[in-house]
Formats: sequence, C-alpha cells, structure tokens
Amino acid sequence: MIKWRAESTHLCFYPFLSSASKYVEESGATLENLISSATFERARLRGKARILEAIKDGVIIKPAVITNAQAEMELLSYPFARILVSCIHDAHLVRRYVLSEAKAAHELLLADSSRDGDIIYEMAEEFSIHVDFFREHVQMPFVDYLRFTANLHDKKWKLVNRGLEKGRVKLEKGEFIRIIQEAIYERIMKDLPLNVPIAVCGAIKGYTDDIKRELEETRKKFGDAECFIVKDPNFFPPCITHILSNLKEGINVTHGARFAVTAFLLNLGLTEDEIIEIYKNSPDFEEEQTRYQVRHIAGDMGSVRYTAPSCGTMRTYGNCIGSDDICEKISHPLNYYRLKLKTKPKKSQAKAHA
Amino acid sequence: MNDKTKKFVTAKFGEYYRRTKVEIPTDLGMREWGFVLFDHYYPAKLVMRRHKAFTAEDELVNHLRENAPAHAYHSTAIYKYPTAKMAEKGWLGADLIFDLDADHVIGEAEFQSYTYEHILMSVKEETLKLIDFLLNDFGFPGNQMELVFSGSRGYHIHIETEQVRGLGSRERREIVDYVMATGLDINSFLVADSKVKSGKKSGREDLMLIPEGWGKRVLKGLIVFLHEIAAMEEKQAIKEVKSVGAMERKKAKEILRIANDETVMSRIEKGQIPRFSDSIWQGLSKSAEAKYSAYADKPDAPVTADIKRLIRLPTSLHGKSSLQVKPLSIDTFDDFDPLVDAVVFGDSLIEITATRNSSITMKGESYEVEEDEVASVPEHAALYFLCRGVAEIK
Repeated sequence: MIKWRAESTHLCFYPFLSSASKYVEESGATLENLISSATFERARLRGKARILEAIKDGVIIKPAVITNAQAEMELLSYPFARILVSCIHDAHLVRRYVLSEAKAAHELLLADSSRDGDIIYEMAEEFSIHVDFFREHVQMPFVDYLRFTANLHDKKWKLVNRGLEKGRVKLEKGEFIRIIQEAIYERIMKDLPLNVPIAVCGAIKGYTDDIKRELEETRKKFGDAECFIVKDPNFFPPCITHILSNLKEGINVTHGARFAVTAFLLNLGLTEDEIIEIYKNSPDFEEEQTRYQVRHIAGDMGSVRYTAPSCGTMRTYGNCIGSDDICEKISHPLNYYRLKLKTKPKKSQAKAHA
Repeated sequence: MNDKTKKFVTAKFGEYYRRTKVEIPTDLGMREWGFVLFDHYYPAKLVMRRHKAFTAEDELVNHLRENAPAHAYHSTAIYKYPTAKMAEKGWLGADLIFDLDADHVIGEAEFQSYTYEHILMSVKEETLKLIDFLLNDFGFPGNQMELVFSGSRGYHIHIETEQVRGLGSRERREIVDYVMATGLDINSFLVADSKVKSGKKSGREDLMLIPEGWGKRVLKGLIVFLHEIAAMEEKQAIKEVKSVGAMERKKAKEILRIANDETVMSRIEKGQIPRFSDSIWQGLSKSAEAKYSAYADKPDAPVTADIKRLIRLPTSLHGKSSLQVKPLSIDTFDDFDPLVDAVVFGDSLIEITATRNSSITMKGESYEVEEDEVASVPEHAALYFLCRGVAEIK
C-alpha cells in the first residue's frame, strides 16, 4: 500500500476505514478526553456539525484540511458523532446520518478515483470484495454483488439484468463505486446505536440537545412524510388493506399474504407488539410463533431485513387485490403509501373545504 | 394403507436401509432432521417428527434401520443447536437448493393428459436448463452440484459450498428470479457501442446488445424470431408479428422488412442493434420475449428462497413411490430413467389386491391393475402400487 494512505489527511475523509480506527486508537485520545477535554472541542463541534448537516442537507460536507492537526480533529469528530447519534435514540436519525456519511464518502470517492485509480483497489480490499479490474469495467463474484445490492431497488441492479458469466458480474467503474457506497453504509451502520454509558450521554447533553432541537424543527417544517412516522391506514394500498381486513375478521390468510403485510408494516416502522396485535384474531394465533415470525421478517435473527414484496411478487402469489389508479403509477406497495402521503391535502386546505 | 400393508412396507423399507450405505450430508451434526413414519396416522395425516439431530453416522444409520421411515429429510440449514426450537436454533448458513417438480413445470390443464413418463421427461428438460444456468452463468463447478432424483416427479440440486452458505433469503430469491427471467428488462443489455471511436460519434451508430448473461439469450430469441418470420409466407408472417409483437399491420410489415434485409440481419446477428423507432423496438422486444421466455427455467421458487427448509435425504426412499431419492451424475443424467434406475426392490412375486385402477411401467415391463383385482406382481411393482395407495397386501 502507498505510504501516504496511512496519513491522517487522507484517512480523515474516510474515517470508517479500519486503518482510520487504528489511527485513532494509536493517537492516544481516550473516550474521556474526547468527550470533555478542551483540546478536542473542535472535534466535538465538528462531530455535532456532521449530524446537523445530515439532518439539514442529507449529506456531510467535507471541509478543507491542510494541517495534520486539522485532519486529526476531522478524524476524531467521526467517533464523537457516532456517540452523539447513539445517545439520541432515534432510529430514523441513525439511518439518515449513516446514509449521509455514506453519500458523502461516495461523492468523494468518485472525485478521488478519477485522479487516483488505486483508491478503488484500496476500497475493494477494505471490504474484502474480490474484484478483477479491467480497463473499462470491473468484475465481481455474484455472491458479493447480491450482498451489497440488497438496498438498490432499481431494476438495473437486479441480477437478471446484469451480464453474469461464470459467476462473475460485470459492472462499470461508476457502478462499482456505487456498490462501495453500500459497503460503506453497512460498515458505518454496524453497531449503531452504540451502547453508550448513561454518564457519557449525560456529559454531552449540551450537544445532543442542540441536535434534538434541529431535528424537531426540521420535522415540523417538512412534516414526517419521509420519516414514515405517520402510519395512516387510509394511505395503505388496497392489497394490504384487503389482507388486514381479512385478518381482522378472523379469516385465515395465506403465508405469503402474512409475510407481505408484516414486512410492509415493519417497513413503515410499526413495532413487533403492534404487529402481533393484528394477528390476534387469526384462527391459528399463537403468540410465541407469531413473535418469532415477525422477528424473522424484521431481520432480528441473523436473517436479512425484509422489504415488503413488490407489486410483481404480490401479483405472482395472487395477493394483488383491488388495484386502483395509484397502483398504475407504482411498482411497490410502499411507494403507494409514499405517493399518497405526499399528495394528501394539508390540514389548512382540508379546513377550507369543510 | 391398512395395517398389514404398513407392516409389509415398513419391513421392506427396513431391509433396504440395512443393505444400503446411505449418504451422509456434510456437517451432519449441525443439521436438523425430520421423518414421517408409516405410523397409525399414515397416510391420512403426515406427522413430521422433526428437530432431531445425529452426532455420528451410526446414529443416523441405526435410526433409519429401526424406523424405516416413509420420508426422511434433513435441513438445508446448519445450526448451532439443531434440536432447539426454531427461534433458538442459531442459524449458521444453508445450502443452496433448487427443486424442480412436475407441479411447477407443467400447467394444470396439461397435467391430466400427461403420462408419468411424459411428466418425468418435461421435468428433466427443465433440470438440464437449470444445470446450464448454474454451470455457465453462476460458474458453479459441476462437482459442487449434487443432482438428485426426488423419488417422485422431479429433481433436486444441492450446492453446499462455503460461498453460498451465507446467502440470505433475498439473495436466493434474486438467484431464482435470474433462472426464471423474473424482472428481466431487455433494455438493460442495450448500450452504446464503446468500440465506435468517440470522435466519429453521430448519435446514430448501432447499439450493442451485450451478449452476456440473459443478454445472450435475448439476442438468440430475437434472431430466432426474425429468421422464423423471414421463412414464412408474407401473409402468415405479418399475422404472426401482429399477434406476438402486439402491433398494427404497418409496423408489423416494417419488422418483416427488417427480417428480410440481409445487411440489417447480419448486424443484428453480431449483436449490433440499429436505432429503431421506439414502437418498432418495442415490437421486436416483445417478439424476442416470446422466444427467450422458453429459455427460462421453472423451479419451485419458495424452496430456494427458504433458508430453513427440510429436503429429502439423498439415497433415502420416497414413501409415495418406493423409488430411491437417487444421487445422479450430471454427465450421465441424459440416460437416467427413474423407472429403471431408481428402482431398488427385487423381482420375487408378491400378491396384492388393487383398490383402484392403476398402471406403471418399471424396468421396461408394464403392469396394470384393476379395482378389486388380485394380482401377483414383482416386489418392486408391488411396492410401487402399495406406496401409491392403489393396492393393499393380500
């Protein structure tokens, strides 16, 4: 590996790299210092700024870094931001923050890789992806490809639409960098929220309060549409409504339909208990069994976190029932919900009509 | 199946397990096992005795010899605690499994008119297609795929490499979608030809249909279709294009012109696609689809997507047919005839009473029984009729 890569001025922009955490470890900065020492105030402020930028802009802006001291502050702001976001206990904020970090890294990587091709090798190595590099494209094993494209829903990412030969998937370089973003997302998300001692959260309350305030204001301004906190059944697609009404009436519902409705509601952010409640009228209800299944779909048991089935899958299993004109515009039941939520009349307008 | 028949069949199955070396799956001790016995519930109710585990080969072998089960299954998954309740098993990974069964390969309407031999043939064709996908697209070496006759009307493929063990359900679903061509979008394979020098680009150069993965099958479908209509009489060809491509007569004629144009065809055969108008390309895509959809496979998708499935133990017996769940070699698969090669019982004559009309051809001999008829047939045919539930032991 090239020597300068271990330098803080490089690492501070990719603080999730294993060499970056090693650098932090070896720098001698302790948790106690990081949260309270005056030396690290700039790191703490920058850590807070990372999260505020995530809330406001959805991406984290990388500052100009010239000196080693600046680089170290930038680097240390990352673990501090992780502590902050963990103390706030808000799953939506965690996701938004992680996505913003990953997006920022992706943008930087696009720019850096056009200047220095080696950085893609470095990333592939970092995430143990066995990539073969060619002039115009890269090839990676389909198993790695599938693992890192779990959250990429555009049809162009479907394996069936890729050149797959002898177990290797062909990708353009830009596409591979997009996949690295997914790997970065996974890396940053890992272990979040951290299990931070209450005393530590207490010591940095000043920072977390500022963040909470910003979070509330942003939510007020934009509504909670993106955060999916509103769970209004009036906005559910007809297929889900149909299954829910059958469950309510105690009609036995197929396994596939149960899966669909459970995944859909989990994706909207309903809790395990709220979902179990829905199944209580089923003729074959068994709480323990249901809890197990809900947890499995939620991905709490080492399985993949499931996304509700797409319209295509719903159709395949005969669960697409009562399709309406909004269904024409979407290919996924969750998008039905999003679309209807976006177009819902504002309260004031509703009043004017009344 | 009456008690006397159950006793007879159990004894015969037991003999089989005493004289046969059964296949021991990898990671034996980490798998869950399940068995259906010829018990007093059978066959009205199939009671699966599951959550069992065996730490040593002997234990499994003895269990099979003592119980002579109607059906024997092991988990595709390996677990930390295979005997625990589902939630507490500690999933560590699972083999990648494909199940090709007549139910999924043949439409319900055709099912009635097909003979057993005919059904088996169709499923075999689908299995050969799947093997091609696994070897050439997914790159699994032949020696890492275990091909098994299911003992009834289909085939299983087990892949047990480390590489696939950790795949989750979603990833497995993507693999199934691939072999079934679910969600295939032709346009994903259509790109601007990078070989054209950038300086000369006019925006009207041919596009390239990338001949990789499904791209090669799409291209093949397109070419086959165009050749087919070129060989037809004009009237018939236009009718064909109109219906397959769902388009009006004028456009259909245009497509026929393409098919008859040698220079355009020679470009298409090299994967170069002229920049057709949207409506023409749409018609061509639909026409290609009509052909390439035949290259798609029809496995039982949920089986592959399920990471905690039980699957039949290769070399065990299938209680509804008495045939062996037989491991096969890909090289000799073409010659495999289940009604000869998966027959494990002998030729001594056994007297049975038929309870329904039925017929079967085994080892090249045809047997037919009529309701209430007492027949003396070779042991292997007798066990087939008894297991099928169309006869009782005399």
